[in-house]
Amino acid sequence: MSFADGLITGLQVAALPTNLLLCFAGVFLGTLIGVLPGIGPATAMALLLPITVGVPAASGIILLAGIYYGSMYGGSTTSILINVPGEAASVMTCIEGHQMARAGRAGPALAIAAIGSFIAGTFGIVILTVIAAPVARAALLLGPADYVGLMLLGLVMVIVISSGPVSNAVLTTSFGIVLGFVGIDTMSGEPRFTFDAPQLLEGIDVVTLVVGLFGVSEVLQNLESSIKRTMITDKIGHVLPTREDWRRSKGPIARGSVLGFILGLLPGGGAVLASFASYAVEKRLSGRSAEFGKGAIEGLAGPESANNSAATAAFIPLLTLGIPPNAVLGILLGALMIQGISPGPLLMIRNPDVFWGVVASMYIGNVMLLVLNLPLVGLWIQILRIPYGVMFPLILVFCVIGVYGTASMTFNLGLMLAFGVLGYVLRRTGYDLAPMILGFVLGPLLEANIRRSLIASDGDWGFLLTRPVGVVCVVLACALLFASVLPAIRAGRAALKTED
Amino acid sequence: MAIDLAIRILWTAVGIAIMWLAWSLGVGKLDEPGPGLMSFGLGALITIVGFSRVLSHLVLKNFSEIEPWTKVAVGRVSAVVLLLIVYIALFEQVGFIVMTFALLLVLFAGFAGIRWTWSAALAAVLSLGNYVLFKVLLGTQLPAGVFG
Repeated sequence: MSFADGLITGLQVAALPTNLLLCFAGVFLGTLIGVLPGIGPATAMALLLPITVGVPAASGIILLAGIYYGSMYGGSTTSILINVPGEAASVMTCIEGHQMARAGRAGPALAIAAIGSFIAGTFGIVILTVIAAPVARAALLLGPADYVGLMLLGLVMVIVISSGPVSNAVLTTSFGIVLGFVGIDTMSGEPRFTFDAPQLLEGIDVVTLVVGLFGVSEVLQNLESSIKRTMITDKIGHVLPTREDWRRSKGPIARGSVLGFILGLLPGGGAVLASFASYAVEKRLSGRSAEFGKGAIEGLAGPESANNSAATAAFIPLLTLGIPPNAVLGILLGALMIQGISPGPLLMIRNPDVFWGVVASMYIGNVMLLVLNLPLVGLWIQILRIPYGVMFPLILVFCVIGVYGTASMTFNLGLMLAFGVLGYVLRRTGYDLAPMILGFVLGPLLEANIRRSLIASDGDWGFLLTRPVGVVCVVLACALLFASVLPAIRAGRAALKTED
Repeated sequence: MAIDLAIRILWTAVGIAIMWLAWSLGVGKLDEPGPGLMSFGLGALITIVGFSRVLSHLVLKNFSEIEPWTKVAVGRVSAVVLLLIVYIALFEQVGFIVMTFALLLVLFAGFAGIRWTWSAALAAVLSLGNYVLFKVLLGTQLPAGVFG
């Protein structure tokens, strides 16, 4: 099936009234939870996961995908208006967007963020439409060694880009991988790390882990002190950017779209890395680096475009390789599995309605987001005015509903709380939690491929260097890791010399 | 400083525990890897990195800057965690509506400083509203408890 035929099939699926409604619900909810700090797309997807069981697979995934890319739009509103990133990928938007808002230019900032997101999101979907089939065909040629290389590269990427020392990220990633092993070992049939608890035989639910580590732990951290919010209370008048704003934003939007897409393809890369990289690129290229940090529109347009493009690109490794590049898409993978669908190279052959239906719905969803976002700014502001004291009990209740609704087990609620406390302590002591989640999601896949490859190669680790894709990924991973630990080694040597 | 060191020691202990548990699962041989092989390797990695961080703290005086916990912060966080433990323990027996009402009531009145009467009204509306939305309209599994 050519991409044009696929897209026509997809549009027929996405244009069904139920799917249009679910797409709208997804992007609306996604924007809402992107606006609200403390409740991320993972929690929102967990809340709605049970209802996807009762609808056709394509409809359920259209809803969940809408939440994911919708949250990228919503995150910018909170960043610009109250200087709190509603979503991790919006951190860079805070810097320039909020400064623009403080200078009375909240309207143009919101407009450029929305338009840049739309252009980049649409660019990402067009490329996704065109390259998905060739990538899937190429993926059919990949062996376990290539998958091992890809996943190792993804894990190293997330270790290198995480905040804090590399050693901290190595610890959390490794621990996350081990958490992914809890339950029955699929190759030997033996229970692992279950401590005789029957509830753990099926493993730790990804929703429980993500909601605990991100939802509950963030609430606990915010309880320590009230968030200092500098809300822009002035009426947002002119929304349309000026001619000068357009002129300065064109390049960053184009560069952000391309850069975001490339970085979004990498497992472990994604929207956060894309927005940081885009900000750095724009600061270097703009010729107005002194304006950065004081409301430079290039520093807003680039990262906002990059994170949306990356969010779209992230669907490629999931749908064509079956590798979720981040925790949220790990939940989407779970939703597909519940429906009896295995994402991977054969998805578009076995389930073309699901694959192309989701892709086509993303075109529609992006238009909905553009139309929704600017007129609803007033509503988002009203929601943001709700005091955190009222908000956090509700967030906790949503966390409980999301986790209990997935498996109907009180045990999972206990686990959620335990992960919440663990996440809180780790956050407080300088550990980034994203590597732990990616380790958890990729760990079992990585282990299965390593064990298969070892058996096939009679225990020779050289299997890693037998396939071109695997070799490139392993070499890149080693180079990245080496480059990131080198400064620490040098600093350690220098400190020892000083002591001598 | 003490917290930083404690965390580093804890990581080392976690690594050793994982190695021990993985070994008991069986690491097998390289051409016939057991269920504990990769966990053992990861446990070893955690132990090595954790221990090197302990050494880095003690020998190189390389500390992480950790903002100390205040009594108020510890009190607020502990109170919410305790409330959640009680909430989860009674969740299935008593049911979503009653337990959520009680949790929201205490949190609104105790943490948001809303008057008890208003807190009660808000908690009642939100617990019932969530039950209707998620259980009745969206079909999410939530325990009815005493109303079941």
